[in-house]
Amino acid sequence: MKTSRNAFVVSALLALAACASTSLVGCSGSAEDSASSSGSALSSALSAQVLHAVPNAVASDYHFTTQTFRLFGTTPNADGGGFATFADKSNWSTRHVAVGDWLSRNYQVASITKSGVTLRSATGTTSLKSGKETTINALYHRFDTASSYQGKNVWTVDGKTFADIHTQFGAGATADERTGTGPTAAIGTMTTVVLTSVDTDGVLAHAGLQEGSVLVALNGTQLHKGDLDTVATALTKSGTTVSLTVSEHGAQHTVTYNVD
Amino acid sequence: MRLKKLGCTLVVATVASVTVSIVASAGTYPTRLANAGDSISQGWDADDVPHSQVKYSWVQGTSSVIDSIYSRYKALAPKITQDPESVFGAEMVGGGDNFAAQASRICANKTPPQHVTVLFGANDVCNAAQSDGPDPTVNMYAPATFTGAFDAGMEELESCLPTGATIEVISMPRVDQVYVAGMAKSSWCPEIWSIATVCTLVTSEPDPARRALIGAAVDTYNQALADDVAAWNSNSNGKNTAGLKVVTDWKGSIANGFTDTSLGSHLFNASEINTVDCFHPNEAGQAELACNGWVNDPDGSGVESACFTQEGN
Repeated sequence: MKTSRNAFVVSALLALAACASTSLVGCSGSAEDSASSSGSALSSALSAQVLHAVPNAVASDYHFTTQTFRLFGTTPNADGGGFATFADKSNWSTRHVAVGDWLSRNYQVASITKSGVTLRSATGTTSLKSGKETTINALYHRFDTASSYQGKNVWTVDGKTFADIHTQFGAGATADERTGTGPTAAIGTMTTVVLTSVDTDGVLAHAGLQEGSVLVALNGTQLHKGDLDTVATALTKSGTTVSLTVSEHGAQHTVTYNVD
Repeated sequence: MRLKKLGCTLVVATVASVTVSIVASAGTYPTRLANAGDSISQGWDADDVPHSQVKYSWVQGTSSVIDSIYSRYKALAPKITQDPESVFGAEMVGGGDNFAAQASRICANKTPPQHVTVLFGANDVCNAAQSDGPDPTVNMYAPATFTGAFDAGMEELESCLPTGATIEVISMPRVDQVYVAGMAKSSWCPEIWSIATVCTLVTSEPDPARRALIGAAVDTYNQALADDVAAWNSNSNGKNTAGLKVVTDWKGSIANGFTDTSLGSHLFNASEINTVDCFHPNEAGQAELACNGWVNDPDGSGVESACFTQEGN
Protein backbone atom coordinates (compact mmCIF):
# COMPACT_ATOMS: atom_id res chain seq x y z
CA MET A 1 0.00 0.00 0.00
CA LYS A 2 1.11 3.45 -0.73
CA THR A 3 2.52 5.32 2.21
CA SER A 4 1.73 8.96 1.88
CA ARG A 5 3.76 10.79 4.44
CA ASN A 6 1.32 13.68 4.30
CA ALA A 7 -1.41 11.48 5.65
CA PHE A 8 -0.55 10.72 9.22
CA VAL A 9 -3.10 8.01 9.84
CA VAL A 10 -2.62 7.72 13.53
CA SER A 11 -5.12 4.98 14.23
CA ALA A 12 -3.70 2.76 11.51
CA LEU A 13 -0.23 3.48 12.70
CA LEU A 14 -1.19 2.53 16.19
CA ALA A 15 -2.65 -0.68 14.82
CA LEU A 16 0.62 -1.38 13.06
CA ALA A 17 2.30 -1.65 16.41
CA ALA A 18 1.01 -5.17 17.08
CA CYS A 19 1.00 -4.34 20.74
CA ALA A 20 1.41 -7.10 23.24
CA SER A 21 -0.92 -5.72 25.84
CA THR A 22 0.19 -6.06 29.39
CA SER A 23 -2.24 -7.40 31.91
CA LEU A 24 -4.05 -4.70 33.74
CA VAL A 25 -3.41 -6.58 36.95
CA GLY A 26 -0.17 -5.30 38.33
CA CYS A 27 0.37 -2.91 35.45
CA SER A 28 1.72 0.28 36.82
CA GLY A 29 -0.70 3.08 36.15
CA SER A 30 -3.20 0.70 34.58
CA ALA A 31 -6.61 1.81 33.44
CA GLU A 32 -8.21 -0.48 35.99
CA ASP A 33 -6.35 1.27 38.77
CA SER A 34 -8.07 4.39 37.67
CA ALA A 35 -11.60 3.06 37.36
CA SER A 36 -13.94 1.56 39.89
CA SER A 37 -15.29 -1.07 37.48
CA SER A 38 -14.61 -2.20 33.94
CA GLY A 39 -17.77 -0.76 32.47
CA SER A 40 -17.61 2.51 34.31
CA ALA A 41 -16.99 5.95 33.03
CA LEU A 42 -13.42 7.17 33.17
CA SER A 43 -12.15 8.19 36.56
CA SER A 44 -10.63 11.61 36.88
CA ALA A 45 -7.18 10.06 37.17
CA LEU A 46 -7.55 8.15 33.91
CA SER A 47 -9.21 11.08 32.20
CA ALA A 48 -6.19 13.17 33.05
CA GLN A 49 -3.92 10.69 31.26
CA VAL A 50 -6.09 10.26 28.16
CA LEU A 51 -5.01 13.20 26.08
CA HIS A 52 -6.65 11.80 22.94
CA ALA A 53 -10.00 10.29 23.85
CA VAL A 54 -12.40 8.08 21.95
CA PRO A 55 -15.99 9.30 22.29
CA ASN A 56 -18.21 7.19 24.58
CA ALA A 57 -15.30 5.11 25.85
CA VAL A 58 -15.43 3.48 29.26
CA ALA A 59 -12.51 2.61 31.52
CA SER A 60 -12.23 -0.99 30.35
CA ASP A 61 -11.71 0.19 26.76
CA TYR A 62 -8.28 1.46 27.72
CA HIS A 63 -5.14 -0.46 28.58
CA PHE A 64 -1.50 0.33 29.17
CA THR A 65 1.33 -1.31 27.26
CA THR A 66 5.02 -0.99 27.95
CA GLN A 67 6.58 -0.15 24.60
CA THR A 68 10.09 0.65 23.48
CA PHE A 69 10.38 3.00 20.53
CA ARG A 70 13.45 3.90 18.55
CA LEU A 71 13.46 7.24 16.81
CA PHE A 72 14.83 6.41 13.35
CA GLY A 73 15.07 10.10 12.60
CA THR A 74 13.30 13.31 11.81
CA THR A 75 12.52 15.09 8.58
CA PRO A 76 11.72 18.62 9.70
CA ASN A 77 10.85 21.33 7.24
CA ALA A 78 11.42 25.06 7.24
CA ASP A 79 8.04 26.05 8.68
CA GLY A 80 8.43 23.97 11.84
CA GLY A 81 6.48 21.05 10.44
CA GLY A 82 7.76 17.85 8.91
CA PHE A 83 7.61 14.44 10.47
CA ALA A 84 9.45 12.01 12.68
CA THR A 85 9.72 8.26 12.22
CA PHE A 86 9.40 6.01 15.25
CA ALA A 87 9.84 2.23 15.18
CA ASP A 88 8.21 -0.08 17.70
CA LYS A 89 11.16 -2.23 18.72
CA SER A 90 8.99 -5.32 19.27
CA ASN A 91 8.51 -5.77 15.53
CA TRP A 92 10.10 -2.66 13.98
CA SER A 93 6.84 -1.40 12.49
CA THR A 94 7.12 2.33 12.04
CA ARG A 95 4.95 5.35 12.67
CA HIS A 96 5.35 8.66 10.90
CA VAL A 97 4.14 11.42 13.18
CA ALA A 98 3.88 15.19 12.83
CA VAL A 99 3.61 17.83 15.55
CA GLY A 100 0.24 17.35 17.23
CA ASP A 101 -0.02 13.66 16.31
CA TRP A 102 -0.37 10.99 18.95
CA LEU A 103 2.18 8.29 19.62
CA SER A 104 -0.37 6.73 21.95
CA ARG A 105 -3.45 8.02 23.74
CA ASN A 106 -1.25 9.57 26.43
CA TYR A 107 1.74 10.82 24.43
CA GLN A 108 1.59 13.59 21.86
CA VAL A 109 4.32 14.92 19.62
CA ALA A 110 5.07 18.44 20.86
CA SER A 111 7.97 19.42 18.61
CA ILE A 112 10.23 18.04 15.91
CA THR A 113 13.73 19.32 15.27
CA LYS A 114 16.66 18.13 13.20
CA SER A 115 18.10 16.32 16.18
CA GLY A 116 15.04 14.80 17.78
CA VAL A 117 11.51 14.93 19.11
CA THR A 118 9.79 16.17 22.24
CA LEU A 119 6.79 14.20 23.49
CA ARG A 120 4.13 15.67 25.76
CA SER A 121 2.14 13.72 28.32
CA ALA A 122 0.02 14.54 31.36
CA THR A 123 3.11 14.31 33.53
CA GLY A 124 5.42 16.50 31.47
CA THR A 125 7.65 16.32 28.44
CA THR A 126 10.15 13.73 27.22
CA SER A 127 12.90 14.50 24.73
CA LEU A 128 14.30 11.85 22.43
CA LYS A 129 17.25 12.13 20.08
CA SER A 130 17.43 10.45 16.70
CA GLY A 131 18.82 6.94 16.85
CA LYS A 132 17.96 6.58 20.52
CA GLU A 133 15.34 4.47 22.24
CA THR A 134 12.77 5.24 24.87
CA THR A 135 10.39 3.00 26.80
CA ILE A 136 7.00 4.42 27.68
CA ASN A 137 3.89 3.16 29.41
CA ALA A 138 1.65 3.74 26.41
CA LEU A 139 -2.10 4.01 26.81
CA TYR A 140 -4.30 2.62 24.06
CA HIS A 141 -7.99 2.25 23.37
CA ARG A 142 -9.06 -1.24 22.33
CA PHE A 143 -9.80 0.12 18.84
CA ASP A 144 -6.13 1.03 18.46
CA THR A 145 -5.01 -2.56 18.93
CA ALA A 146 -7.83 -4.31 17.08
CA SER A 147 -5.49 -5.26 14.27
CA SER A 148 -1.86 -6.21 14.07
CA TYR A 149 0.44 -6.52 11.11
CA GLN A 150 2.15 -9.89 10.91
CA GLY A 151 4.50 -9.03 8.07
CA LYS A 152 4.54 -9.95 4.39
CA ASN A 153 1.11 -8.43 3.78
CA VAL A 154 -0.73 -10.48 6.39
CA TRP A 155 -2.87 -8.88 9.12
CA THR A 156 -4.71 -10.28 12.09
CA VAL A 157 -7.98 -8.51 12.82
CA ASP A 158 -10.32 -8.72 15.82
CA GLY A 159 -13.65 -8.98 14.01
CA LYS A 160 -15.80 -8.13 17.02
CA THR A 161 -13.87 -4.97 17.75
CA PHE A 162 -13.88 -4.06 14.07
CA ALA A 163 -17.66 -4.41 14.19
CA ASP A 164 -17.71 -1.92 17.05
CA ILE A 165 -15.47 0.44 15.09
CA HIS A 166 -17.79 0.04 12.10
CA THR A 167 -20.83 0.86 14.22
CA GLN A 168 -19.21 3.93 15.71
CA PHE A 169 -17.21 5.33 12.80
CA GLY A 170 -18.18 3.41 9.64
CA ALA A 171 -15.78 2.49 6.84
CA GLY A 172 -14.27 5.93 7.08
CA ALA A 173 -13.07 6.62 3.57
CA THR A 174 -14.00 8.13 0.23
CA ALA A 175 -12.79 6.98 -3.15
CA ASP A 176 -12.50 7.69 -6.85
CA GLU A 177 -12.59 5.08 -9.57
CA ARG A 178 -10.16 4.93 -12.47
CA THR A 179 -10.39 2.76 -15.54
CA GLY A 180 -7.88 2.39 -18.31
CA THR A 181 -6.47 -0.07 -20.77
CA GLY A 182 -3.49 -1.95 -19.45
CA PRO A 183 -0.41 -2.27 -21.57
CA THR A 184 -0.63 -6.00 -22.10
CA ALA A 185 -3.21 -8.72 -22.53
CA ALA A 186 -2.22 -9.97 -19.10
CA ILE A 187 -3.69 -6.83 -17.60
CA GLY A 188 -6.44 -5.96 -20.09
CA THR A 189 -8.81 -3.26 -18.92
CA MET A 190 -7.88 -2.15 -15.45
CA THR A 191 -10.26 -0.60 -12.91
CA THR A 192 -8.90 0.70 -9.65
CA VAL A 193 -10.47 2.35 -6.63
CA VAL A 194 -8.23 5.05 -5.22
CA LEU A 195 -8.89 6.17 -1.65
CA THR A 196 -9.12 9.96 -1.73
CA SER A 197 -9.57 10.43 2.00
CA VAL A 198 -9.31 8.14 5.00
CA ASP A 199 -10.76 8.91 8.44
CA THR A 200 -8.23 7.82 11.05
CA ASP A 201 -11.05 6.48 13.23
CA GLY A 202 -12.73 4.33 10.56
CA VAL A 203 -12.44 0.64 9.76
CA LEU A 204 -10.29 1.04 6.66
CA ALA A 205 -7.66 3.06 8.51
CA HIS A 206 -7.48 0.32 11.13
CA ALA A 207 -6.92 -2.13 8.29
CA GLY A 208 -3.79 -0.22 7.30
CA LEU A 209 -5.31 1.60 4.34
CA GLN A 210 -4.40 5.19 3.71
CA GLU A 211 -5.19 8.04 1.43
CA GLY A 212 -3.80 7.00 -1.93
CA SER A 213 -4.23 3.26 -1.37
CA VAL A 214 -5.42 1.62 -4.59
CA LEU A 215 -7.98 -1.19 -4.20
CA VAL A 216 -8.83 -3.65 -6.95
CA ALA A 217 -10.79 -6.64 -5.63
CA LEU A 218 -12.29 -8.13 -2.48
CA ASN A 219 -12.03 -11.93 -2.29
CA GLY A 220 -11.54 -11.94 -6.05
CA THR A 221 -14.53 -9.73 -6.89
CA GLN A 222 -13.81 -6.45 -8.69
CA LEU A 223 -14.36 -3.43 -6.48
CA HIS A 224 -15.97 -0.12 -7.38
CA LYS A 225 -15.93 3.15 -5.52
CA GLY A 226 -19.27 2.45 -3.85
CA ASP A 227 -17.99 -0.76 -2.28
CA LEU A 228 -15.97 0.63 0.60
CA ASP A 229 -18.56 -0.32 3.19
CA THR A 230 -18.61 -3.85 1.78
CA VAL A 231 -14.87 -4.05 2.42
CA ALA A 232 -15.32 -2.71 5.94
CA THR A 233 -18.14 -5.16 6.70
CA ALA A 234 -16.09 -8.11 5.47
CA LEU A 235 -13.45 -7.25 8.05
CA THR A 236 -15.97 -7.67 10.88
CA LYS A 237 -16.81 -11.31 10.13
CA SER A 238 -15.00 -13.38 12.74
CA GLY A 239 -13.60 -16.71 11.63
CA THR A 240 -13.04 -15.67 8.02
CA THR A 241 -10.08 -14.81 5.86
CA VAL A 242 -10.40 -11.73 3.70
CA SER A 243 -8.26 -11.22 0.61
CA LEU A 244 -7.95 -7.66 -0.56
CA THR A 245 -6.25 -7.15 -3.90
CA VAL A 246 -4.44 -3.85 -4.06
CA SER A 247 -2.42 -2.25 -6.78
CA GLU A 248 0.89 -0.67 -6.12
CA HIS A 249 3.53 0.51 -8.49
CA GLY A 250 1.74 -1.04 -11.42
CA ALA A 251 1.24 -4.50 -10.05
CA GLN A 252 -1.47 -6.18 -8.07
CA HIS A 253 -0.83 -8.05 -4.88
CA THR A 254 -2.96 -9.52 -2.14
CA VAL A 255 -3.24 -8.38 1.44
CA THR A 256 -4.64 -11.12 3.67
CA TYR A 257 -6.70 -10.38 6.77
CA ASN A 258 -7.24 -13.22 9.20
CA VAL A 259 -10.36 -12.12 11.06
CA ASP A 260 -10.45 -13.62 14.55
CA MET B 1 37.30 -12.35 -5.22
CA ARG B 2 37.98 -15.78 -6.59
CA LEU B 3 41.71 -15.25 -7.26
CA LYS B 4 42.28 -13.93 -3.80
CA LYS B 5 40.65 -17.00 -2.35
CA LEU B 6 42.89 -19.38 -4.31
CA GLY B 7 45.97 -17.38 -3.37
CA CYS B 8 45.07 -17.54 0.28
CA THR B 9 44.63 -21.30 0.14
CA LEU B 10 48.08 -21.62 -1.41
CA VAL B 11 49.67 -19.68 1.43
CA VAL B 12 47.82 -21.78 3.95
CA ALA B 13 49.20 -24.96 2.41
CA THR B 14 52.73 -23.80 3.04
CA VAL B 15 52.16 -22.68 6.62
CA ALA B 16 50.73 -25.87 7.98
CA SER B 17 50.77 -25.00 11.65
CA VAL B 18 48.19 -22.24 11.35
CA THR B 19 46.04 -23.68 8.67
CA VAL B 20 42.92 -25.00 10.30
CA SER B 21 40.88 -21.89 10.94
CA ILE B 22 42.21 -20.07 7.92
CA VAL B 23 41.42 -22.91 5.57
CA ALA B 24 37.96 -23.08 6.99
CA SER B 25 37.27 -19.47 6.13
CA ALA B 26 39.20 -19.28 2.90
CA GLY B 27 38.05 -22.45 1.25
CA THR B 28 34.42 -22.49 2.33
CA TYR B 29 31.46 -20.88 0.67
CA PRO B 30 28.31 -20.02 2.57
CA THR B 31 25.95 -22.89 3.21
CA ARG B 32 23.00 -20.59 3.76
CA LEU B 33 22.03 -17.31 2.13
CA ALA B 34 19.39 -14.76 3.06
CA ASN B 35 18.17 -11.59 1.50
CA ALA B 36 16.30 -8.50 2.62
CA GLY B 37 14.67 -6.23 0.11
CA ASP B 38 11.65 -5.11 -1.88
CA SER B 39 9.84 -5.97 -5.10
CA ILE B 40 13.03 -5.78 -7.15
CA SER B 41 14.32 -8.75 -5.17
CA GLN B 42 10.95 -10.45 -5.68
CA GLY B 43 11.43 -10.33 -9.44
CA TRP B 44 8.26 -8.28 -9.70
CA ASP B 45 6.78 -8.26 -13.22
CA ALA B 46 10.12 -9.50 -14.55
CA ASP B 47 8.54 -11.71 -17.20
CA ASP B 48 5.80 -9.19 -18.00
CA VAL B 49 3.25 -10.95 -15.79
CA PRO B 50 2.03 -8.69 -12.99
CA HIS B 51 3.02 -10.67 -9.93
CA SER B 52 6.07 -11.76 -7.95
CA GLN B 53 8.26 -13.82 -10.24
CA VAL B 54 10.89 -14.91 -7.78
CA LYS B 55 12.50 -17.35 -10.16
CA TYR B 56 13.59 -14.29 -12.14
CA SER B 57 14.92 -12.44 -9.12
CA TRP B 58 18.51 -11.24 -9.33
CA VAL B 59 19.21 -12.51 -5.82
CA GLN B 60 16.97 -15.51 -5.11
CA GLY B 61 16.03 -16.60 -8.65
CA THR B 62 16.44 -20.08 -10.04
CA SER B 63 16.10 -19.35 -13.75
CA SER B 64 19.21 -19.83 -15.84
CA VAL B 65 18.18 -16.70 -17.73
CA ILE B 66 19.04 -14.66 -14.66
CA ASP B 67 21.97 -16.54 -13.11
CA SER B 68 21.10 -15.11 -9.72
CA ILE B 69 23.35 -14.77 -6.69
CA TYR B 70 21.72 -17.94 -5.33
CA SER B 71 22.35 -19.83 -8.58
CA ARG B 72 25.97 -18.74 -8.71
CA TYR B 73 26.58 -19.88 -5.15
CA LYS B 74 24.72 -23.12 -5.81
CA ALA B 75 27.08 -23.84 -8.68
CA LEU B 76 29.94 -23.55 -6.20
CA ALA B 77 28.22 -25.19 -3.23
CA PRO B 78 25.37 -27.44 -4.42
CA LYS B 79 23.92 -28.01 -0.94
CA ILE B 80 23.42 -24.32 -0.27
CA THR B 81 19.99 -23.16 0.96
CA GLN B 82 18.39 -19.75 1.13
CA ASP B 83 16.02 -17.72 3.28
CA PRO B 84 14.48 -15.00 1.11
CA GLU B 85 12.78 -12.37 3.25
CA SER B 86 12.22 -9.62 0.67
CA VAL B 87 8.67 -8.26 0.49
CA PHE B 88 6.85 -6.34 -2.22
CA GLY B 89 6.59 -2.68 -1.29
CA ALA B 90 9.10 -2.79 1.54
CA GLU B 91 11.04 0.30 2.51
CA MET B 92 14.35 0.64 4.29
CA VAL B 93 12.60 2.92 6.80
CA GLY B 94 8.81 2.73 6.87
CA GLY B 95 6.09 0.14 7.31
CA GLY B 96 6.03 -3.29 8.86
CA ASP B 97 8.37 -5.01 6.41
CA ASN B 98 11.29 -2.62 6.59
CA PHE B 99 14.92 -3.70 6.76
CA ALA B 100 14.93 -4.08 10.54
CA ALA B 101 11.75 -6.20 10.44
CA GLN B 102 13.16 -8.43 7.71
CA ALA B 103 16.47 -8.69 9.54
CA SER B 104 14.68 -9.84 12.67
CA ARG B 105 12.91 -12.52 10.59
CA ILE B 106 16.26 -13.67 9.25
CA CYS B 107 17.49 -13.93 12.83
CA ALA B 108 14.37 -15.82 13.89
CA ASN B 109 15.33 -18.77 11.71
CA LYS B 110 17.06 -21.69 13.37
CA THR B 111 20.01 -21.62 11.01
CA PRO B 112 21.51 -18.16 10.57
CA PRO B 113 22.96 -17.42 7.14
CA GLN B 114 26.59 -16.63 6.47
CA HIS B 115 25.67 -14.27 3.65
CA VAL B 116 22.91 -11.64 3.51
CA THR B 117 22.13 -9.42 0.54
CA VAL B 118 20.33 -6.13 1.11
CA LEU B 119 18.54 -3.94 -1.44
CA PHE B 120 16.12 -1.21 -0.35
CA GLY B 121 15.41 2.39 -1.11
CA ALA B 122 13.23 2.73 -4.22
CA ASN B 123 10.01 2.63 -2.17
CA ASP B 124 11.43 5.06 0.36
CA VAL B 125 11.74 7.52 -2.50
CA CYS B 126 8.61 6.62 -4.46
CA ASN B 127 6.32 6.66 -1.42
CA ALA B 128 7.28 10.19 -0.44
CA ALA B 129 4.44 12.65 -0.88
CA GLN B 130 4.69 15.10 -3.73
CA SER B 131 5.37 18.73 -2.96
CA ASP B 132 4.27 21.79 -4.90
CA GLY B 133 7.02 23.81 -3.25
CA PRO B 134 10.39 24.61 -4.74
CA ASP B 135 11.97 21.42 -3.41
CA PRO B 136 10.31 18.22 -4.68
CA THR B 137 12.32 16.16 -2.19
CA VAL B 138 11.07 17.93 0.94
CA ASN B 139 8.91 14.97 2.01
CA MET B 140 11.63 12.37 1.49
CA TYR B 141 13.25 10.94 4.60
CA ALA B 142 16.29 12.84 5.79
CA PRO B 143 19.44 10.85 4.94
CA ALA B 144 20.09 10.37 8.66
CA THR B 145 16.68 8.73 9.01
CA PHE B 146 17.50 6.42 6.13
CA THR B 147 20.81 5.36 7.65
CA GLY B 148 19.24 5.24 11.11
CA ALA B 149 16.84 2.59 9.83
CA PHE B 150 19.71 0.79 8.13
CA ASP B 151 21.60 0.72 11.42
CA ALA B 152 18.61 -0.86 13.17
CA GLY B 153 18.58 -3.70 10.65
CA MET B 154 22.34 -4.10 10.89
CA GLU B 155 22.15 -4.31 14.66
CA GLU B 156 19.60 -7.11 14.33
CA LEU B 157 21.86 -9.03 11.93
CA GLU B 158 24.96 -8.38 14.00
CA SER B 159 23.20 -10.01 16.93
CA CYS B 160 22.65 -13.32 15.15
CA LEU B 161 25.01 -13.81 12.21
CA PRO B 162 28.11 -15.94 12.70
CA THR B 163 31.49 -14.29 13.02
CA GLY B 164 32.84 -13.22 9.67
CA ALA B 165 29.53 -13.43 7.84
CA THR B 166 29.09 -11.20 4.80
CA ILE B 167 26.45 -8.54 4.27
CA GLU B 168 26.33 -7.13 0.76
CA VAL B 169 24.42 -3.86 0.46
CA ILE B 170 23.30 -2.87 -3.03
CA SER B 171 22.73 0.79 -3.85
CA MET B 172 19.24 1.90 -4.86
CA PRO B 173 18.35 2.72 -8.45
CA ARG B 174 18.00 6.26 -9.73
CA VAL B 175 14.23 6.28 -10.18
CA ASP B 176 14.45 9.41 -12.30
CA GLN B 177 16.54 7.41 -14.76
CA VAL B 178 13.96 4.64 -14.75
CA TYR B 179 11.40 7.31 -15.68
CA VAL B 180 13.55 8.26 -18.68
CA ALA B 181 13.73 4.62 -19.73
CA GLY B 182 9.95 4.25 -19.45
CA MET B 183 9.29 7.34 -21.51
CA ALA B 184 11.53 5.92 -24.19
CA LYS B 185 9.87 2.51 -24.03
CA SER B 186 6.29 3.31 -24.97
CA SER B 187 3.71 6.06 -25.09
CA TRP B 188 1.42 4.06 -22.81
CA CYS B 189 3.95 3.97 -19.97
CA PRO B 190 2.74 7.35 -18.63
CA GLU B 191 -0.83 6.03 -18.82
CA ILE B 192 -0.12 2.95 -16.73
CA TRP B 193 1.93 5.02 -14.31
CA SER B 194 -1.12 7.22 -13.79
CA ILE B 195 -3.73 4.46 -13.50
CA ALA B 196 -1.62 2.30 -11.22
CA THR B 197 0.07 5.14 -9.33
CA VAL B 198 3.58 4.01 -10.12
CA CYS B 199 6.23 6.05 -8.30
CA THR B 200 4.22 9.23 -8.64
CA LEU B 201 6.95 11.35 -7.07
CA VAL B 202 8.81 11.14 -10.37
CA THR B 203 6.23 9.91 -12.88
CA SER B 204 3.89 12.84 -12.08
CA GLU B 205 6.70 15.35 -12.13
CA PRO B 206 6.78 17.06 -15.55
CA ASP B 207 9.81 19.25 -14.84
CA PRO B 208 13.11 17.53 -15.71
CA ALA B 209 15.03 19.86 -13.41
CA ARG B 210 12.87 18.82 -10.47
CA ARG B 211 13.23 15.14 -11.39
CA ALA B 212 16.98 15.71 -11.40
CA LEU B 213 16.72 16.98 -7.83
CA ILE B 214 15.04 13.71 -6.88
CA GLY B 215 17.85 11.85 -8.60
CA ALA B 216 20.41 13.88 -6.68
CA ALA B 217 18.61 12.97 -3.46
CA VAL B 218 18.96 9.30 -4.39
CA ASP B 219 22.68 9.89 -4.84
CA THR B 220 22.77 11.40 -1.36
CA TYR B 221 21.05 8.32 0.09
CA ASN B 222 23.47 6.02 -1.70
CA GLN B 223 26.52 7.94 -0.52
CA ALA B 224 25.23 8.09 3.07
CA LEU B 225 24.55 4.36 2.94
CA ALA B 226 28.03 3.65 1.57
CA ASP B 227 29.60 5.74 4.33
CA ASP B 228 27.59 3.78 6.90
CA VAL B 229 28.60 0.48 5.30
CA ALA B 230 32.25 1.52 5.57
CA ALA B 231 31.77 2.37 9.25
CA TRP B 232 30.24 -1.05 9.88
CA ASN B 233 32.91 -2.88 7.92
CA SER B 234 35.78 -1.16 9.69
CA ASN B 235 33.93 -1.20 13.02
CA SER B 236 34.70 2.48 13.35
CA ASN B 237 31.17 2.81 14.72
CA GLY B 238 32.02 0.27 17.43
CA LYS B 239 28.96 -1.83 16.60
CA ASN B 240 30.50 -4.65 14.57
CA THR B 241 31.76 -6.90 17.32
CA ALA B 242 30.87 -9.98 15.26
CA GLY B 243 33.48 -9.09 12.66
CA LEU B 244 30.93 -8.94 9.88
CA LYS B 245 32.22 -8.21 6.41
CA VAL B 246 30.01 -5.42 5.08
CA VAL B 247 30.38 -4.36 1.44
CA THR B 248 28.49 -2.27 -1.10
CA ASP B 249 28.46 -1.87 -4.87
CA TRP B 250 28.34 1.95 -4.66
CA LYS B 251 31.47 3.73 -5.83
CA GLY B 252 30.13 7.14 -6.68
CA SER B 253 27.46 9.02 -8.57
CA ILE B 254 26.79 9.52 -12.24
CA ALA B 255 27.55 13.22 -11.74
CA ASN B 256 30.97 12.33 -10.40
CA GLY B 257 31.85 10.11 -13.34
CA PHE B 258 30.89 6.70 -11.96
CA THR B 259 28.20 5.88 -14.50
CA ASP B 260 27.29 2.17 -14.65
CA THR B 261 29.64 1.16 -11.85
CA SER B 262 26.78 0.18 -9.52
CA LEU B 263 23.01 -0.21 -9.57
CA GLY B 264 22.72 3.28 -8.13
CA SER B 265 24.72 4.81 -10.96
CA HIS B 266 23.21 2.79 -13.78
CA LEU B 267 21.54 4.65 -16.62
CA PHE B 268 18.54 2.45 -17.28
CA ASN B 269 17.28 2.00 -20.81
CA ALA B 270 14.01 0.79 -22.31
CA SER B 271 15.20 -2.77 -22.88
CA GLU B 272 15.78 -3.34 -19.17
CA ILE B 273 12.32 -2.58 -17.77
CA ASN B 274 9.15 -4.65 -18.08
CA THR B 275 6.10 -3.84 -20.19
CA VAL B 276 3.59 -4.13 -17.34
CA ASP B 277 4.51 -1.22 -15.11
CA CYS B 278 7.38 0.24 -17.16
CA PHE B 279 9.35 0.50 -13.95
CA HIS B 280 10.59 -2.77 -12.51
CA PRO B 281 13.49 -4.58 -14.17
CA ASN B 282 12.55 -7.25 -16.69
CA GLU B 283 14.50 -10.48 -17.09
CA ALA B 284 17.34 -8.68 -18.85
CA GLY B 285 17.44 -6.05 -16.12
CA GLN B 286 17.35 -8.68 -13.38
CA ALA B 287 20.25 -10.52 -15.05
CA GLU B 288 22.24 -7.29 -15.01
CA LEU B 289 21.51 -6.79 -11.32
CA ALA B 290 22.67 -10.36 -10.64
CA CYS B 291 25.89 -9.69 -12.50
CA ASN B 292 26.44 -6.46 -10.55
CA GLY B 293 25.70 -8.22 -7.27
CA TRP B 294 28.16 -10.98 -8.05
CA VAL B 295 30.93 -8.62 -9.13
CA ASN B 296 30.69 -6.87 -5.78
CA ASP B 297 30.34 -10.04 -3.72
CA PRO B 298 33.55 -10.97 -1.89
CA ASP B 299 33.14 -14.46 -3.34
CA GLY B 300 32.30 -13.17 -6.80
CA SER B 301 34.17 -12.12 -9.87
CA GLY B 302 33.93 -9.93 -12.94
CA VAL B 303 33.74 -6.22 -13.63
CA GLU B 304 30.73 -3.93 -13.42
CA SER B 305 31.23 -2.50 -16.89
CA ALA B 306 30.46 -5.91 -18.36
CA CYS B 307 27.20 -6.17 -16.42
CA PHE B 308 25.15 -3.25 -17.59
CA THR B 309 23.82 -2.68 -21.07
CA GLN B 310 25.12 0.68 -22.11
CA GLU B 311 22.96 1.33 -25.13
CA GLY B 312 21.23 4.66 -25.36
CA ASN B 313 17.60 5.21 -24.74
